[in-house]
Amino acid sequence: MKEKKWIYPVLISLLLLLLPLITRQNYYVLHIAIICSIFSILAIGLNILQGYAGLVSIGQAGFYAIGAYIAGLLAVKLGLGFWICILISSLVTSLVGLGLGLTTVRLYGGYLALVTVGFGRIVQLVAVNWTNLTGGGEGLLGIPSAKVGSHVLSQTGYYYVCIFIVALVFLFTGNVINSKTGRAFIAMREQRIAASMMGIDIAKYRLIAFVIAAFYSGIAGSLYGFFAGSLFPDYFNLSQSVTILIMVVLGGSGTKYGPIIGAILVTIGFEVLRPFQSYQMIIYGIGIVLVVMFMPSGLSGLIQRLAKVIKIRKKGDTHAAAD
Amino acid sequence: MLLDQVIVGLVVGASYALLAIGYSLIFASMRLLHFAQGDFLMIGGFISLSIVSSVTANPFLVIFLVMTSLALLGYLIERLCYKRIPDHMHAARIIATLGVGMILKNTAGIIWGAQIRPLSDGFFRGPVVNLGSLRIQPSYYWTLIIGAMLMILLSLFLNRTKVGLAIRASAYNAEVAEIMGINSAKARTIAFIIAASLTGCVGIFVAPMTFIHTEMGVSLGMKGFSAAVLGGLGNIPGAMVGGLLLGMIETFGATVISSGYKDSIAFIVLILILVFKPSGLFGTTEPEKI
Repeated sequence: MKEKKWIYPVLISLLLLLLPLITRQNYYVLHIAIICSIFSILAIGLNILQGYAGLVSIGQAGFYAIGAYIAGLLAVKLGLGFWICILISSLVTSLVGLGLGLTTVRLYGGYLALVTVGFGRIVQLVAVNWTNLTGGGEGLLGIPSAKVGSHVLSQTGYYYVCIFIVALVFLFTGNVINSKTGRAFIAMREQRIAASMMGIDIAKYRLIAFVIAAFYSGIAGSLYGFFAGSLFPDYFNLSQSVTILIMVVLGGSGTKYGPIIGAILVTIGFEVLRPFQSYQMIIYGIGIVLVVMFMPSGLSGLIQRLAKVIKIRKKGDTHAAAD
Repeated sequence: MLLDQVIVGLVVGASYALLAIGYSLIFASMRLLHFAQGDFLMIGGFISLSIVSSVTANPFLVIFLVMTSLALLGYLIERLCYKRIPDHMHAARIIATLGVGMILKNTAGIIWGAQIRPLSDGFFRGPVVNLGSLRIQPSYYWTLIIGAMLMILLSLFLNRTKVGLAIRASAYNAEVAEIMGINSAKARTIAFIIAASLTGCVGIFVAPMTFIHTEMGVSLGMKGFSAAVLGGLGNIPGAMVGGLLLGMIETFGATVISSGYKDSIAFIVLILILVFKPSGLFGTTEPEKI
């Protein structure tokens, strides 16, 4: 069994690489795929914070907005290149994450969630009111298309850049989680006091989680900025933060693939519900409530439970045969 | 001029106080941060609009009917949703409240439409009161009077009746309360219903200032939260003072900073309080157990 473990990642990467070919560069499919990858990055970041370290944040759209606006402003006002914009904006966003982490270092659970909601709202208010910088409600317009070298990226090219970054983020996260840092996250999620008795510096690891999540949001924000070409404060509202949280919870918080699965399902789900128009958000809301009521451990939890049930059944069968 | 500001601060503060009481009641009895509170407020506003246009325009009757319908709505939501999620799943409970808020907001959008509507002119009838140079609008003094009445009634209910005692006891310690023969699940439901109906009432009070639309609950809900945290989440008298204080801070703060940032005052107060004194102004700080 063990030798076959590599086969799924290879198959999935092949499928992702060939997606533009399979769909004959279908505009709509690639559009959705790019959005899926942007939200995957956001959800992977929040998964570190919420899933592994146990810190609920409902303000990720704030970081997302900061990343998007900084990258957009650098590109529009200073004419900087694509990669340098992403780098600077995600570094600045992680600094903001450090700031929020430092101010909330003593807060847990609902109190922390409350502050993050406030943070997201303040970022949005700044984006609306700082008109001469952000363009306010009329939006920040005219972000140029992404360039690699002197070559302007087509939609297909941008898709490859996005999945490349998702892959990097995914691999980096896997390494962090499998390291001492990741084990410290899980320990402080499960038993904060016991973890600190074992010598884990809770404050330090909280900050690390906040900074990584913010860094990823900064990357995702810059990718969104270059993809959309214009930024509006309304986009980065509370429901956007909720959506990111839902992706993590639906996929299964604290699991490796959960956030990506969640991001893909929610994004596609939105598209499927689009024909229902004004009923779209109601169905989405009902879906959210049903998910947390009936499978609070997300899809991954559900699959694990099913696998267990099947295993028990199989065991039962062999017992029956032995009898 | 200064007195005008004080009156406005008190009126806004009374609404925040009622909202904050709702949050604190729910938090004290259910340990739940109820993010759908702002949407309850919005539903209250819309229901009052429908009642005024089709049933009666008597303010007291309207308030009574709104509170009754919100109580019913609260009962349904608590029964069908919140009750079924175990207490220890923090993230799941928070998300459920956000989902409920989303359902309420979009349902309201379909029933009542997306346009911004005023509550009919002269809903709060009465002469303009002149105190020296001060002119107080009828909607202002009615908000203050009815708000104060509701708060007094609630205090009497919580402190002088058996049901109130049951709510306080199960909020203090649900297990011990159950040993003493209190049905704490029922006490929670009653507390939630009271909170829902008070919140619906706020929807009428703020209508003259914010008008009625589907987004009216978003920032008001967060401000109520800030007020509740300011007074100490779960502390009812604290919520009253916190609400009035926040109303004052916001009204006077708005004269200092530009009005676009006025909404952020409440959030800054919220963050400052949570960072420096999470138990609120009147709470006793629990020492960290490490």
